[in-house]
Parts: sequence; structure tokens; C-alpha cells
Amino acid sequence: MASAAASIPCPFDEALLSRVQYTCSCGAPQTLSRLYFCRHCWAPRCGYCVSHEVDSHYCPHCLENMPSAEARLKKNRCGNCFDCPVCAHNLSTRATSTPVPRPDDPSQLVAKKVFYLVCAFCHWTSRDIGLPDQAVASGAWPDLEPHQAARLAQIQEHYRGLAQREKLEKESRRFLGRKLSYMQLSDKYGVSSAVARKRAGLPPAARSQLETASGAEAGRNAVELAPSPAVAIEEVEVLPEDLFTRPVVLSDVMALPARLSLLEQPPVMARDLYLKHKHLMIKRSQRCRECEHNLCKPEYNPSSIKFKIQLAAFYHVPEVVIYRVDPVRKPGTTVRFILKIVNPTQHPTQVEFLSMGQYQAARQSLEGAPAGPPEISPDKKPLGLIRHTMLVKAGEAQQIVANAQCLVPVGQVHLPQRDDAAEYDDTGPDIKNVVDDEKIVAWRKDNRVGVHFSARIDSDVTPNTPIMTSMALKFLYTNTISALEQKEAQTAEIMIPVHLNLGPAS
Amino acid sequence: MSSGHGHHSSEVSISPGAVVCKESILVGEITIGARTVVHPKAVIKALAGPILIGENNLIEDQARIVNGRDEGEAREASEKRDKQSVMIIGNHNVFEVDCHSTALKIGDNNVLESKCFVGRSTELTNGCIVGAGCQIDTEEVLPENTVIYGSQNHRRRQGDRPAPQTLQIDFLTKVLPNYHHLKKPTKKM
Amino acid sequence: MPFYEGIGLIAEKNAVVIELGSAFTKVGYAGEATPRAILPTPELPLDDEEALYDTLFELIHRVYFKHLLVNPRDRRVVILDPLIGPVSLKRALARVLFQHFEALSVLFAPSVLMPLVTLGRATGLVLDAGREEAVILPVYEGVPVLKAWKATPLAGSKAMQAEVGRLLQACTVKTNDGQIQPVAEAPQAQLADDTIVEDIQIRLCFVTDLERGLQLQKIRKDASQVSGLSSFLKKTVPAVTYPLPAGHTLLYVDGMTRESAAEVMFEPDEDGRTLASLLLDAIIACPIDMRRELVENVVIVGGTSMMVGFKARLFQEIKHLIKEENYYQEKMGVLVDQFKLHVTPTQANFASWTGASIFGATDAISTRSFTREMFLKEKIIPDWSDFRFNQLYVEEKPPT
Repeated sequence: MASAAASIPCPFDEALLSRVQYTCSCGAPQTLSRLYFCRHCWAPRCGYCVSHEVDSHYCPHCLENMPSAEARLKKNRCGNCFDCPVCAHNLSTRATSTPVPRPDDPSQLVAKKVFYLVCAFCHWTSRDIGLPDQAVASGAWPDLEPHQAARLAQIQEHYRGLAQREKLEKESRRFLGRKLSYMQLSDKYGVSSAVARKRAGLPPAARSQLETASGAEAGRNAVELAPSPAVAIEEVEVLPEDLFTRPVVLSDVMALPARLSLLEQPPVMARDLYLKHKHLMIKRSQRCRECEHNLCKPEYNPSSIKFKIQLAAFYHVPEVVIYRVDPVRKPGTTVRFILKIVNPTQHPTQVEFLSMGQYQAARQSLEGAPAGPPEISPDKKPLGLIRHTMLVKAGEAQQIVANAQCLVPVGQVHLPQRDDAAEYDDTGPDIKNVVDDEKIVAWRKDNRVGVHFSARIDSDVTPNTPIMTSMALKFLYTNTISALEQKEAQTAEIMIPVHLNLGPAS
Repeated sequence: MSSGHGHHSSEVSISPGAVVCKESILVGEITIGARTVVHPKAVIKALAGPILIGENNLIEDQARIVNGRDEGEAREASEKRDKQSVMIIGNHNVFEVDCHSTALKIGDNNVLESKCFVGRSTELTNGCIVGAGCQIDTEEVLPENTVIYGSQNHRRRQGDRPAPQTLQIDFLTKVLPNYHHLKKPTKKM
Repeated sequence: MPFYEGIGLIAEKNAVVIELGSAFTKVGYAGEATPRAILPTPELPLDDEEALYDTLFELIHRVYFKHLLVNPRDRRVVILDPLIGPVSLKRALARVLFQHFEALSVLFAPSVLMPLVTLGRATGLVLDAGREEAVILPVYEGVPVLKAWKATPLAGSKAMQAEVGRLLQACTVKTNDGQIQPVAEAPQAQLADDTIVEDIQIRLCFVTDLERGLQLQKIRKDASQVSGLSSFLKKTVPAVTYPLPAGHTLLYVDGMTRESAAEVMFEPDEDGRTLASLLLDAIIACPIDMRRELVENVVIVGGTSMMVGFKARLFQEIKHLIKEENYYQEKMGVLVDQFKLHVTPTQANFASWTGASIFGATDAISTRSFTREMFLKEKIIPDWSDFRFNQLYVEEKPPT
């Protein structure tokens, strides 16, 4: 459908949203929709610098929650749902009735309901591999064992024993120190070193790190293990006789994705396929690395999309939207644009704009740290005695390079709070005492203002490259955490750099 | 779009027992077998030759069965589509919504799922399923019980044919006349 | 299922085992027989440190939250270390795990030793055939004989797929109008897509025996010189009709392509080397006393080695080389009939992973791992190529 040039674009269009990027505290530029805001640190956080945690497991098909202990036992697979081994789609259970002889009267036939699995996408069924139909709708399908599981368990035990011995040795050596040698003992008491060790209650010395059981003495924990025998090549590999004669049915030879999905017994041919239980998914929660508070915590119920805690920056940080830009954007000239600033909070705020130079200066005076491009530096002091937290910093490659210098308006702009009843209330926000400078404020409505900006485009910008300009948004944030000691809410000034894509140069 | 609302009814022979809705678009010489159901807005165009449709087929809404090249379609290099030939469709086939078939020969018990495309070069034997959105136009005779699925048009062989949709056809035969005018059968049995 | 369900012995959580192969990444838990998931490895920009960090971050993020479904914090990690590989990758991986995911410790397990662990052995000649290259490294009593390391890219599946692509140009396609054209002239053939060539190589190609292989190599060099060509060609594998994904073209993969693509591994390169000759060179580079035991314990792992006929042909080539070439006859003649092959208890494409899983479920993980505390202090990962760490007898304390 053709849209007129004057039609309003969708406000959630990704291309539109990505024209305004905020810089997270770690240095990575993100759209506002992808940022969290930590109420305790008063700083933005993003998916890159926040620590993610597994919250709960659930099956994506039956939406059944699974406690993490059970998930661990079942290897993160749902007990009831299956995946098609060919196309990885869900398998649905179908019922048919087959006539079976009655137990008491074999000549009479009774219809019995049996179930089989079928894939709605590729039409694969459990009957294709000869699995008999089950009498129960769920839970009766047998599982697959890994190939050679018993032998591997044996090998595992053997190596556990070896490693334990090595550990004991290391510890005992550390205890006694290197100086102690059994030569002294043998001199004093005429006792050989092996006997001396036995007397001291220590296990015998191992000759090498990874010995075979056949060579070592049976230490207390070692398991007798026959190492795998090697086989003559003639017995192992033979080209199949009918390779040159039998025509290949291509659809019977499984492609790589099918082979890699069923690792217990990887299927080479279609007849080797088997059912796999559906893999679970998780719900994630995010946590600020500095203050360890949760930024985002989803509901436990898998079918609910709400959150228990949701500290999205969208609800705390004023939103900057590019409202209008001059259509003519020649390099070397000044382009004017209007930004719409929206206050999403329940408290009125004052918004100010800083150029990047002013922003760097302000940060420097605040922190006393050089405000250059952030490096990946692990020299932060450990925050607690127990954890050594390392704060994550984004790399230099992610930084946005501006090719236009933003000329910010000077002065504060008052922004009233968000009022949900505004559409029913004609009185409007309380801005009696607010006098707007006409040169700065283009228009004002409820909790939104339009602000005039301009930017000087660098003269070396080639046509059709996007014009990027940066400035810093400084706003008054009112703390919403219920203050225990103070009665009044605390306010703080927060500065966040904002990068704008004004569109292609003409 | 030519208005083929039964103006060429003399060229369309409908067997008794077939349920053909008046709003279906039938153009050219078409024979429809008994107990076949043709939904409204289904399109059957016999442009480059007659179409013979067998019994117990289910042709859903907006399905297109075209023998030849439809208006608006690009002319192919070999102009195969313009050559005069008879299109034969067997029994118990299902043409789901918005499928597009120009195959000259279709056997029995095939299923053409929604929005699939079967080209003129392909011949469907019996029991083939062309998955939703798939395209098959290779010059070959598809082996029986072949299933085509996925965006990459993968293939596999099924063990047996898909079950015929007798239940659905019975239901439609009863219900459709309550809501749509039907074309009168022309063949005398 | 884990090897043992004893609760008392394991106070610690299972470690995570990750093998970053050039084609596929295998991830799972220590103590289990098979990886939980095998995912394709993304392109790793090895020369750009930051881009490498970001790519690895995204990969590990997916590994933990989509496949392993576990909290990365305070969990031990075992990484398979190819010994001869880019150190930048090893360092970036450790940095990602420690900084971003707060792993408790990282244990770099030498990937060449791991298949031997699954066999319960300490000595063997390990051949690992992957996508980029095939690597041969002998191991004696648990110590890799690094000076005998050999590798060739010609035996990697990447080289073979390039060959398949080249051979397919001589095959034909049938377009939807019934015309049969050579691939080179048909624009609809779309063989530029790697996945199609990879699929053909995995499903249809195989390694033929020595006799036919030598004939094929002669034909590939210059078909006009070969006598008895027509009778030789009478016995070929059947061609296979491969429908291309676009749905309107059929590709005929002829018997020649199916059979001779693998010959790249056994055709001598400019230096006259093949996979078999490299294997023998590796043995010869070892001290003479080790050689018999190595020959009797050959271990072949890696996805590329799973091709039908690979192992049989390799051994045929080895025997052929020893018999025909004076140099090898002299050095290895005594051992020509002593070659023996091990069959790993797991599939060849994740045999190294399973070995690391066994290794990572022992106490070795607590004694030998590199912890987060050490990383915060040292800020550098130990590697055998770094002389600060490469001493015969390492002190108990980490070097300052």
C-alpha cells in the first residue's frame, strides 16, 4: 500500500528508533528501548554490561514450568514433549483405534485407542522407524541410551581415582615441604624410601601423571582398568560391497543438522532416527554489576509476559525523539532540527543540554578520572571481600564518531510529569511559573516539549553518509525508592550522552 | 481478470454428486468427477487444453489449477506452457487454500498444501505431499509418497499415503449447499 | 546421563566443557558422555581483538542461556586447547569468561590428549581431521611430542568441499524446461551457496580404495594419458539426482564427483606430501624407541575422518608408501605390519569433547585450573608458548 509522504511513520519502527542512541555507563551506544536504569547507582545499564542470570526453566511447547533441580536431572528436556528428528518441529500425538482381540474372548475384536507421534511440518511419524504405538497418551516412549555408556563410566572412575591420588600427593608434598627426603629416614633407621612412605601412611609415589592401571600399583582409590585394545585396520573399516551397485535414495541419507541433534546415537540413515525430548528454554533476569540489585525479573509463570521488577530506562530517563530535521543538509552548513523530549516519570524535571565538550569537563570534575574513551580496565578495587567484581566496558569500536558539531540551546527547560489522566483533564499541567524562551522551546504539550537545536556539519562529509551528532542530556531524577530515613524524595542530576542520526547528507 | 462465472458452462461438465459452487471460476473445457468439492473462489482455467478432474477431490478456496499460461504471467523461454495438452488429475487429491498447480499429470491421494506451487514440468504420482509454501518445478516424476517441506524444499519419503479426506468431503457435501448456490451437474449418469 | 549419581562425592557443581572447533562448537557438562549441543562456530576475527571479544561474548552468551541453561557465575569451565593455535583466541576466551561471565576457573585441556582419555591410554598417535586442517600429533606417556607436530589443510573438509564444488562444474543440471546443461553454463545452478556443497560432500562423497584412487589421480592429472579408461569408468558409483533448494533444477552428481573429491587428501602437493606421508613423518620425527608403541596405537578423531572409507584408505596409503618409497622403507619398513587403530567409544566428531568431559569430572579440575583470582592478579593466561610458564618443574605458587 502506498503511503503519502506526510503520513506518520510507525513509532516503533526499528530503523527510526535506532536514530537516537544513548550511551550506556559501559560506553556502548544503545537505543533507549534496550537500556535499563539502575535506581541505586543512578546510571543507565545495557544488556552488554549487566549480569544475566537464569531465572526459571520452561518447555516452549507445553509451557510447563520446571524447577531447576528437575531440569538438571532431566538434562533440560521436557518429559512430555518431543521434537521431530528430521525438522526439529514439535511432534503432536495422534490417536487411532486399532482392533485388538479381547483378553477373555480372543475371537472378538475390540477397538483400542493407541497413540503415535507425528510432525505437522514434515509429516514424519513415529511409525516410520518402527516404534510401536503406545497405549498411553504421554510418558510411555522409551529413552535412548548413549553409545557405550558403561565403558565410559568405567573410564571415568579410573581417572577420578588417578586425579584424587595426584591431589593427595600435591597436598602432602605441600605440607611436608620439599626439603624432607626419605634419605634421612633410611640413614637413621635403615629403612628404604618406599617402606618409609608406607609407614608414614602416604600413598605410593606415582611415576607419571596419567598412568595406566596396568603399570601403577593399586593405590587405595584406583580402579582396575583394562585400557582399550587397538584393532587391526582390516577389521575396522571396509568399503561396503554394494557401494558401487546400490542406487542411493537421497532422502534416506540424513543431512548434517539431523545427525548433530541426536548425539546419543547419531543417525546416518533415516531408519536410525529416534525421538528427542524437547529442549527447555529459560527466563532470564538481569542484575546491575555494581550494586547487585535486580534490574529486570520476569514472572515465574511461563505464559505470563509481565515482570516482577522492570527497571527499563524508558520509564525513568527522558526520551529524545527526532521530531523534524531540515531537509537540506549540505556539508559545511548548519542544519536545524527539533527534538521532542518526553518525561516518563511521575515527577516534574528540569532538562538541560550540554555539548560533548561541556559533558567531558563536567564528568572530569565529578570523578577526577580522565574521561577519554573507556578502556577495558580491570583495576577497579574489589567491591566486597568475597567477590572481585569486574565491571564491563565496551570497546572502542562500538563508539559512535560524530561528523557534526551540535550547538546546544543554553538554559533549562521545565518538563512536567507524566499524567495518565491528561486526556480527560482539560486543565493541563501546572506550568504557571514557567516562562519558555521562544528561541529554545518550539512547542509544549503535557509532558512533552519540542526543543530547537542546530548542528554544524563538518565540511568533509560526503553526500549520502549519515550525519551523526552528539550532545549530553542532563536531567533531574527524582528517586522513587521508598525512603526509609528521609521523608522527602532525593533528587539527583544525571547526565547521559545522546547520539543522533540526522539523516543522510545531501 | 476474465469473468468466468460459468459463462462457458457449456464447456464444463460436472458429474452428478460433485459439489461445485457457483462462485468458483471455471474457464475452458473442464470435466469434474463425482463427489469432488470445488469451493467458491477456486480457480480452474483450461487455457492450453482441457482439464480432467477425477473423483473425491477437494479443491479449496483460491486454489488455482491452470492448464497453460494465465494472464499476467511472464512468457517463459520455452513457451512450454502454451503448448496444447490435456491436464489429468486423479482421485482423492487435496488442493489447499491458495495453492497453485500447473502440473499436467497428478495421480491419486496427493496433497498440495497452502500457497505451494507445482510447475508444469513436474508429475505427481500418488501420495505426494507438497508442503505449505514449497515450490517444485523440476522436470521429473516425483516418486510415490514423497514429502516436500521447508523453505529449502527438502524431500523425504513417507511410509504410506496420506489418508483421504472422506470425512471432510462428506461434511462439505452436506453443508456447502446450505450457504452457496451450486452449479448444476451436466453429465447424465 | 551422568556417569555416576553419587551425591556425596560431588560437592561441586558440574563444570562446563566447551570445545571451539573451526567448524563446530561442542558444549556440555563434565561427567556426561555426549555434549548437550553442537552449534556452528561463527567466523572469528582473530586479528581484531575487540571484534573477537564481542563475537566470543555473543557465542558464550548463547551457549549458556540457550543450550546449557545454567548460570555462568561461579562455575568451572574446561576449554579444549589445540596447543598449536592462535593464542589470541585463548586469551580472549578466558577474558570473556572471567570478566563477563564470572566463571570460577578455566582449565585448558590439551585437545590432543583427550581422545586418549576416552581409551584409558597415555600413548598414541592422534590424527584430528577437522574443517580447516588435519593435525597429527604423537603423545607418549601423556606428553605431546610437539616437535613431531604435523598438519595439512588438504585433509580438512574445507579443501574437500572446494574440490567438490570444482568437480560439480563438470556435472549437469536439468532445468524445468527439460534441458540438460552443464553446471558451468546454467545460471540457475546456484552452487555458490556453501551449504549445498557441504551437504553433497557429507551425504554423497566417500573415499575410495587405493587401487582406484591411484587411477583416479592419474585421470585427474591428464585423462588422455590413461589407458583402459573406459573399462575403468564402467565401474563407478551410481550418480545421484540432487534437487536444488530453489525447486526447479535437478543436479546430477555423477560418480566421478562422489568418488574422486576425496583424492585431494592423497594427491601429493608441491612438496610431495600427502596425509599418509605426513603421518609417517610424524612418527619418524619421534625418538626411535617410541615408534613401535605409537604405530600400534593410532587414534583417528574429527568429523572429516568419519567419511566412508577414510580410515581404510589411509592405512592402505601408509603401507603403500612404506613399500614403494625407499626413504620410508628404510625408516619404517620394520613396522609396516604393526599398524593398529583404536575405535573410540564415542563418535569421532566429539571424541575430544568426551575426553575433556571425563577429565573435567575428576579432581584435576580443582588442582590444575586457572582461577578468577589468579586472572585478576596476573591478567594473563598461562600458555606453553610463553616462557614465563614453560618450566619443567613449576613452583607451587603461580609465578609473580
